[in-house]
Amino acid sequence: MKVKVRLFGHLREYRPGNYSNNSESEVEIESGSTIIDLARKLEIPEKELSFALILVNARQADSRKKLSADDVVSFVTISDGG
Amino acid sequence: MKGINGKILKVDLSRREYTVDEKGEGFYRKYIGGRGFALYYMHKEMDPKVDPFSPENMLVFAGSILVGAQGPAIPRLTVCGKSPLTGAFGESEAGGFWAPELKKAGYDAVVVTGRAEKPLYLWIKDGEVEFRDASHLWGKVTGEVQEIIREEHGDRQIHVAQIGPGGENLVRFGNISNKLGHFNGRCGLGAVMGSKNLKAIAVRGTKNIELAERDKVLELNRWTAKDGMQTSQGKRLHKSGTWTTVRSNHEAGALPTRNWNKGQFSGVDKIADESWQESIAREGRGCFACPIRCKRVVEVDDDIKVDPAYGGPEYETVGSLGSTLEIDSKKIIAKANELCNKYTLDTISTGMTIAFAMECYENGLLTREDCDGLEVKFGNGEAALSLIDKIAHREGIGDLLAEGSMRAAEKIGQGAEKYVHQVKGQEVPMHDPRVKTGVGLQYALAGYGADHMKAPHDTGFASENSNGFKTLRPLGLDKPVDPLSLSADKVRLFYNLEVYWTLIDILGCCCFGYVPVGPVSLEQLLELIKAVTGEHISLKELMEAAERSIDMARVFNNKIGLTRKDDRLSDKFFEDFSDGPLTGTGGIDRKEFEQAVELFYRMMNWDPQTLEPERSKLAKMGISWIRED
Repeated sequence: MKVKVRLFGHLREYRPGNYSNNSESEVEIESGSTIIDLARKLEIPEKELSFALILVNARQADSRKKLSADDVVSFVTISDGG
Repeated sequence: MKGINGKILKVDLSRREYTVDEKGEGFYRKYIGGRGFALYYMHKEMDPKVDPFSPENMLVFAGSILVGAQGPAIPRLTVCGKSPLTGAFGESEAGGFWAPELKKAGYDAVVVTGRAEKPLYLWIKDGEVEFRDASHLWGKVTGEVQEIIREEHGDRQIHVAQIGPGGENLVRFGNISNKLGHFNGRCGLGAVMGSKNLKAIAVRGTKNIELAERDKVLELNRWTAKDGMQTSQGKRLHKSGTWTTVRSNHEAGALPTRNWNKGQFSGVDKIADESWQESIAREGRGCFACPIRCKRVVEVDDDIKVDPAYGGPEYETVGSLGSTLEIDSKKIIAKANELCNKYTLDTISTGMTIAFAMECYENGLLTREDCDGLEVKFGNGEAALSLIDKIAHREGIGDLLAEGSMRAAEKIGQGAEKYVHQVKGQEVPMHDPRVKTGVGLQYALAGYGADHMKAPHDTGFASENSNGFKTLRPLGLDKPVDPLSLSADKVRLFYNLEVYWTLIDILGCCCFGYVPVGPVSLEQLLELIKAVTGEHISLKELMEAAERSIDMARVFNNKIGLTRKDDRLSDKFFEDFSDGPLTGTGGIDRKEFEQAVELFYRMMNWDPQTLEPERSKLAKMGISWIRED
C-alpha cells in the first residue's frame, strides 16, 4: 500500500529521492506496517523518533501505530518554547 | 554556600538611596533564585493591592544560586513585579548576559521601589552604585542607549537592562531588553520601569564568583559543548533555534493564523525554518557561557533594512507577527521584530493586539478613520509596521492598542471582546491548546497570565519512547499520557512538569539547555548544583522550593483578590477548528477542562473556589509567614 510522507525539521535529511515540491512523497509499504516500519524504510534512526512529533493525518500517533493506505504521515520536530 | 554573593541590592528611586541586604545560606537554599527571591520581597515589603504604575510597586531583577557560574545554559535574568497588563503577579525570564554580570558585580538581585523625579539609570560596578541622569537617553531606542552608556564609561563590556519608548510610554506590554536581543518579554514589566523613570540598569563586574569545584563546572560545560551538541536536541537548537515549530504546528493543523480563526497558513512555506535558513538568516548568537547558541539573527539590506544587532524573530514572533496577521513576508516580520526590540514591546502581545485590531477592522468595528487612515486588514504588512510605531509612541490608534487587546476591546465595545484571546489580560502565545491540553492548563493556571513556558508540552510525553517521558521519569512520571487527554493522569503529569519547569526557572537555567528540550540531564543538573554551591541539595528539596514559589505567587494573587474566574481559558479553544485537517474537531470539552483545573487546585492543596492554599500547605512549605495578615 502507499502512504504519503512529509519530513521536516531535524528529520528533513531523511527525505526520499522522489520528494516533491509540495513537500511530500509517496512511499510503498507492506500492509499492516507500523510507523516504526516506515521509519526504517526511510532509514530514520530509531533514536531520532524520540525527538519527533509524528502525526498521522495531523493527529499525534505512537510509533507502533499501524498505518492504512493513503495515510499522510508527518515527521516534525517537537518544540516547546520560543 | 559558594556561588553566591550573599548580597541583595535594594534601591529606593524616590529617595535616591540604596541599602544592601545580606542574607544567609538558609535564604538561598529555601528560595533558590528568580521568582523565589522576588516573591520573598514582594510579600515582605509591598502591598499587593498597589497600582502597578505607582511608586510602591516593586521591580525585582534576580539571578539565582547558579547564575554567573560558567556552567551550561545558566544565564537567566528573572524580573518580577506587579503587572500592568494582568494586574496580578508579573514575571518574565530572559537570557543574555546581564544576570551573570550583576553577580560578578557583587549582587545576587536588585530590588527596586519608588519613582525617580527625573529619568535616571542605575550604574552598578563592582559593588558601587550610582544614580545617573538619563534625560539625554529618554526617548532613545535600545541600540543608541547601550552605545551611549558604554561610551560614557569607556567600557564595551557593560551590560544594560533597559527600556525603549514602549516602556517609557507605559505600553502595557512594554518589555525589558538586555544586549539588544534578549528580553524579559511578558507581563509589561518594561512599563513598570517606565513608570519609575528608570531608563536602565547598567552593570559591570570584574570579580570572579567563588565556586566550590570550578573544574567540575567547566567540565560539565565542555561535555555540553562536545557531546551535548551531538545530540539531536543540541544540533537542532543550534541550527534552527525555535523556527522548526512553524512547520510542526502547521502540520498539526494548529498554527495560529488570522487571529486564531485558522490553524493552517497558506504562506507557511515562506515563513518556515528552511525559508529563513536559505535567505536572511545569519550566524546565530548565544547567551553567557552557553555553547548551544540557539538565538536567531537576521539581516536585510534592500528597500527594507533590518539591523542584525537586534537579533531575529523566534518562533513566537514569526507566529504572532506573521501567520496570526497572515503576513508571509520574512522581511516584514523581521522588520516588525526589529522595531519591537528597539522600542521594547513584547512581540507576542504586540502581534496579538494588532491581530485583534485587524479582525475588528475587517468586521467594521474599527474604521479607516479610527485607524489614522491605515487599512488595517489581515495581510497588510505595511499597516502592521505603522501600528508598531504608533503603539510604541501612543500616537493615534496606537494609544488605544498600547492598552493591550483586552482593555482596547472594552473601549471599542460592540462585542469586540470575542476577537480577544487572553488569560488575565495577557494575550495567548502561539501554541494551540486544542492539540495539547496541558498547554491549556498552563495558559489558564499561570499566575502571570497566558504563558507557554510554564511546563514542557504534552507532545513529548505521549509514549514511552518520547524523549520527554524518558528523561524526566525520575520526577515520578509513571506512564505516558495522550496529548488530548484531560484525565487525572494528565493533571498529575502537568503538576510534575510545572514544578520541574519552575525549578529550571528559579535556578536561572534555560529550558533549552536541560532535558527534555536541551541535552543536559537531571543527574548532570544535580552535579552542577553541587559543584557550584558545594552543597548537596536533593531533587526533593529543589522540587519543593519550586512548588513553594508557585504557592507564593498564588498567595500574592489571592491578596489582590484574584479568584477562580481569573483562571479562565479563552472561549476560542472550546470551539472546533474550522479549517485544515482537524476541521470540525478539536474543541476542548469545557466540563472536562474545568474538572482538570479543579483537580490541579486540589493537588496543590488550594481551595477550589477561593484558591487560597490551606494553612497546612503553607506550613508544609515553610512559608506560613506570607499569610500572617
